[in-house]
Amino acid sequence: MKEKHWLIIALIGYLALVYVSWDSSVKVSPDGRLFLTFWHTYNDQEEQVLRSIIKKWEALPENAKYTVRPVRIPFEGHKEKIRTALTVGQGPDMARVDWSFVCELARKNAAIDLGLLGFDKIADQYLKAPLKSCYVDGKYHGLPDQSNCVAFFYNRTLFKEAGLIDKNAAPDPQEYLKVLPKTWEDLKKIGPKLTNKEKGQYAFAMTNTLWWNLPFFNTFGARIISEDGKKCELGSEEAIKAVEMMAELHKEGIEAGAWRAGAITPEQGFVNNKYAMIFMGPWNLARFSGLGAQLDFGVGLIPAGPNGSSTNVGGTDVVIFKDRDEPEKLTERIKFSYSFLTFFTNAQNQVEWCQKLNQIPINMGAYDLVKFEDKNLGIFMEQMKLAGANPVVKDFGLMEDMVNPEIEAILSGQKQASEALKIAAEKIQTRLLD
Amino acid sequence: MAIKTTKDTSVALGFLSPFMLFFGVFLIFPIFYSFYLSFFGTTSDYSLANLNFVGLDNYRTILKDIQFWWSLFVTFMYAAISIPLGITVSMALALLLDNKLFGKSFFRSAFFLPNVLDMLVVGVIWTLIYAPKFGIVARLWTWATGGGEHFFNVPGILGDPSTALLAVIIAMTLKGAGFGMVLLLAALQNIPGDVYEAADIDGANEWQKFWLITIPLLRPILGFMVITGLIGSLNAFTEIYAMTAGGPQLVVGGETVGSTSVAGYYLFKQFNAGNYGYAAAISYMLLIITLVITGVQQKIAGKKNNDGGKRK
Repeated sequence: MKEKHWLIIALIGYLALVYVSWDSSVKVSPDGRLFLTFWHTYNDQEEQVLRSIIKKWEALPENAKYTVRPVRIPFEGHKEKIRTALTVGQGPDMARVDWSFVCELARKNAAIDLGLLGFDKIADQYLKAPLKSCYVDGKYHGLPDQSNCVAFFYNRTLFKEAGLIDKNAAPDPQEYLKVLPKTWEDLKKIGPKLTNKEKGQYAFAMTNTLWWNLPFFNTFGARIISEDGKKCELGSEEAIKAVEMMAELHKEGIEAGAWRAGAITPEQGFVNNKYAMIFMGPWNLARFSGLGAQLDFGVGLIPAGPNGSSTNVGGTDVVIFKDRDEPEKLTERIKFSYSFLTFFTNAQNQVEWCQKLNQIPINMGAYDLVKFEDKNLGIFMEQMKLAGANPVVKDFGLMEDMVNPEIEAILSGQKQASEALKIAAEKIQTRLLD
Repeated sequence: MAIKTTKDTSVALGFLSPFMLFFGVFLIFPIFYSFYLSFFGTTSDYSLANLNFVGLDNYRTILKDIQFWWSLFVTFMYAAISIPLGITVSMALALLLDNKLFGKSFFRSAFFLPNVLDMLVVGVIWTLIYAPKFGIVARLWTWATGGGEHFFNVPGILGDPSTALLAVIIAMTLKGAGFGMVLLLAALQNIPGDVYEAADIDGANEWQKFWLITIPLLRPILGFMVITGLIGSLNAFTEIYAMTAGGPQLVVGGETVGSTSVAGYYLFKQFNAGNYGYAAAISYMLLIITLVITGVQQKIAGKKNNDGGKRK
């Protein structure tokens, strides 16, 4: 009998828990505003700034009817979560997504064409390279909210040990920038001085995925997909030369082979003073700086190829989803969602966002207004201006699956660059573009 | 009597119904739904109502998909090495612990412990053990040989297509051996002592006793280990995900393929890419292959048992 009571209490408790946590019916805020749901992947600090910007937006008289409800979802697996939600008709009004996801959302008719809301008139306010990831089939289906790229991190301790910098000299960043390779040929020249295989030290280490390899392609002026998005140009002379140069770096022993399965990653090797130079993004600046005396590092521009210095584009975009019941209609919710996103990314709010969070602005208007204490962020802003646009395809992950193994075959000396890239280009053409 | 039986059945069904509900929703329904899904291509949007019916196209594509057949080959290689190796190691441990040994309970727990750990954790730990230059294996070799360039540094065990699969198998064998050991130990302890006594009287040596008594009497449990090992190989995914991500790449007849890309990992990649219909078709192909192999194995095992009976 006693157990029966406990069972009933547990059941009531469970039902009460379900009731209080059931929020699908929550459509109105306590002050009577309608909620616009915004799925995002920001961290704690970022969400705090986001909430302050939401407060400013809802304070505007024209937005009295609505407010934005931010809902955090983990970045890992966010694509799958959004796909599932859209499939079962439970998607949000807006979402922050990886740049590579916008094309799929546009082609699958889920993301609104922002041109219908007047975005074309303000598009030139945004950084060109990140904006390109939102431009699908001649229309803007999203707008960038956060952008980054990779630059060239160098390990000062290893530069000193190699005798490239006077060991007793004061840490003057300009001195390092003088010896930092300006071109890939320069890297090949100073590479042997920074390499000591006995100690497991290497001048350079790289990851082999298409996104991480884009700086190589871009410095050689190679495009992966043609401007009109219809032809794969991975088999071009420029692309072949770029990959041959990567293979030479490894063959000459300057590159560590960090791209191999099970190898020490560039990040791990750099932190442990084993790799002198790596590609890395601004997301690791705070962590690396926090290591104090263990890691003395700096940031420079990526060595130039025939097309000068360049980099890739990372980061995220925000999209607005179509109304499930009226997919062809620009409902009021969609219009207010657009109003919020353009407010969120305007120059004034970008200054606040970037200043507080140490991030690169995506609004050109904010570019000159942001002043960073960390000088390395200035290098990233400079590098960002040189970024090449990323290839926009309906499934970037599938493209990586077709390209990465072929480049690995080249790096490991099993295939010629021309042969392997031609095969990859044909696969991409057939499976993604035709 | 009949009334009582009906009542009993109703009560039993009543008690079973909550479980049956879960079983139906989360197991039976997905099995049939994934079969249904295998006849559809990708959607033009995110609505399941707009799934594009492609008939047997997914199955036809599988027949022409070199990457799939390669992954199946890798899976069979994985099974062909890991099952005998796993049984041998488990048997060795079981025989060792079947003796009067100091600290027997400690060793039994110690050998079983890795089996309790998550596959992903074990995979990551072994990746660090195998890591070139700074992993334990590479360091030990450097220490033993006095340094210089060697295989364990460049390309490293997991970085070379000829050793990567073997390295994963060794890691997984050591992880799973504890479970096999427990099964075999239980089976060993169930063999009556008088059978061995009779063999002693007949003058059998230790090897003859092992080969002609122990192994035949362990056959049912060995058969079970082979079947579960085979199913495990066809489902292998986490260890590959954690240790090699299907690489390192290998060029076979001009085609670049992953040297550790087992069928389970290939299936995951298709599913992850949103090719639900194709992934479902692959899973059904794997199911058919598993059933065929298991059936053949059962038939062979059954025949052997019958033959054994006749000799008696």
